[in-house]
Amino acid sequence: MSKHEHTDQVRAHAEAIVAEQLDHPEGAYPSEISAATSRHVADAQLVEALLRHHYPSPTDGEARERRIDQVLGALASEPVEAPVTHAGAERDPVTHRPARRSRRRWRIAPLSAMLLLFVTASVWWIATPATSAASTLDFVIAAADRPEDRTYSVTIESRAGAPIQFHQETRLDVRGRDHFVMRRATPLGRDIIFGSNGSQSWIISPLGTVTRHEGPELLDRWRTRREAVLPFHNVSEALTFLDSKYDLEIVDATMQLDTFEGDVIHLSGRRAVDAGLGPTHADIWCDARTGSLLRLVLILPSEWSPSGHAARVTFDLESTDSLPDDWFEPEAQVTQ
Amino acid sequence: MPSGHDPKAIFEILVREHEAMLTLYLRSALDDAAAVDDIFQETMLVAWRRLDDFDRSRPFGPWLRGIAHKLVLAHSRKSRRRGIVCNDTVLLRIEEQLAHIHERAGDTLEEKTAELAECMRRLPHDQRRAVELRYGAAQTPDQVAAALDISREALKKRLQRARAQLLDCLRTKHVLLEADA
Repeated sequence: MSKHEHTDQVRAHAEAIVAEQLDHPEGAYPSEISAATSRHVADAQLVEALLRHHYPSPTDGEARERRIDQVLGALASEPVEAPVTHAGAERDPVTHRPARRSRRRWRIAPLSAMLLLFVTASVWWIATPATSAASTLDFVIAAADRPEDRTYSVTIESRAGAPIQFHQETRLDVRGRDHFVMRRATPLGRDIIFGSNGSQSWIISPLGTVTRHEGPELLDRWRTRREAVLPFHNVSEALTFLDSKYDLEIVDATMQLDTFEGDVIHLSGRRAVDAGLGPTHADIWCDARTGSLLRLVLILPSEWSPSGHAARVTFDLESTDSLPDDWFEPEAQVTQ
Repeated sequence: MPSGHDPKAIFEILVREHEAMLTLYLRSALDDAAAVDDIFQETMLVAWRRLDDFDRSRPFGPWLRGIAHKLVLAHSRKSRRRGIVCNDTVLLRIEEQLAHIHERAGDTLEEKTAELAECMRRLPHDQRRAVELRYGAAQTPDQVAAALDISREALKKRLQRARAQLLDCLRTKHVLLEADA
C-alpha cells in the first residue's frame, strides 16, 4: 500500500469515527486511536464546528452573550486587586480551578437563595410573638412570605485580617416569596440584573440583553451548575436545610438595633458539624413584633465562598417603601 | 468603550475579541454545549488570574487556548460522555488549524473563514441540502432524514461525505492546513 493510499485510509477511518459520534453522541468511540487518525479526527471535528459557527441557531446569539456575561459576572466577583498588579501572587494550578470557579461564578446567586430562604415558606402563624428559636425562624419566614416590598443592601466583604481584602455592595428588592430583583456591578460600569416576577425568571446583561425563562430554571442554572454549590434547590429543601442544619438559638429576645426603632430578636446559629458545606454561621435579626427580617449575616468559609476566600455577607433592610407594580418585570429594570 | 486604564475593562475587550475562536476550539473538542460554556468561562477566569504569566509580545489567542487545552483534557478525563474524540493530539491539531486561521486576512472568524460559503456552493446538491437542513435549519438527524426521504444511515454517510468535501475545499483555499502539514 502506498503512503498516499494509507493516508486516505486513515482519513476515511477518522471521518467515519466522527460521523458515527455525531450521529450517536452517547455512543463510544474506539479507545485506541493513532496519532495520525487523531489528526484527521481533529480536522473533521473542526469542520463540524465551523459549520455550526456559520449556521448559528436562533439561540446562538443569546448563548454568546450569556457566555460573555458569565465571565463578566464572575470577574465582578473577583477581589478588587487585579492580578496584573500582583505579579508574585500565588496561583492555583489550572487543573485545580474548575471546582473553585463554579463557586465563584454563582457568588451572588447563592446569597440571594439564602435570603430567599427567608422569603419563602408556608404560613404557620404571623402575629404571635415567638418564644423559641425554631418558632422565631418560622415567624421570620412567614413575615417574609407576605407580599410586601422590601429592599436590602447586601455587603460581601473579606473577613478581618484576611490576606486578600475585598468589599462589594449590591442591592436586593423582594416582594413576598418569589418576586425579587438583584443587581451586581460589572466591569462595564453597568449592572447585571437577576430577577423573578413569580412566574418568569430573567437576567439582564450589562449590555441590556434580556434573557427570560418560564419558571425558575434559568436562575437555578446560575446557582446550581455544580451540585456542591448549594445544599438546596427548592423551597422545601431550603426549609429543611435551615431547620435541620443549624443549631439556632435566641441570643437576645428584646434587643435594639441602631437602624431600627422597635424591639428586635436576634437569632444566631452555627452550622452543624456533620452538615457538609455551607455558611458556618448565620445571624438573624428580626422585628420582634412583625417578624420582618432586619438583618442577616452569613459567614462563608473559603471552601464554600464563591470567591474562594472566607467572606462575611450582610443583608440589611434598607427600605419597606412600595416599589412600582411592574418592578419585578425586566422591562422595568432595563431603563434603570 | 470602557476605560483603557481598567484591567478588567481591557480584559473584557479581550474576552469579546476571542470569544468566537475559543468557542470554535471548544466546539471542535467537546460535544456538550454546557461543557463548552463551562470551560469557556473557566478558561477566561484562569486567564484573568494568570495574566501576569502572559507574554505580551505573543498573541493572546494561542495562550488562551493553551489554558483551554488543559481544562478540556481534565474535563474529558472526568466526563462520563465519550461521544467525541478528545485527546492531546486532537487538541494540538485543532490549535494548529486555528493558529493558521488566525493568521488569515479578516477581522472576524466569519471573515477569516468566508470561503466556507463558496465551498458550500460547490457541494453536490444532495449533500448541500443535507447540510443546510442539519445545520442551517437546525433539524435533528431524524428530521433531516425524513425530509430527504432517506435512511438515517444514508444521511450519516451523506453528511460525512459533505464534511470531507468541505475539508478538501477549505484546504484548497488555504483556510485549513493540509493533512500532513
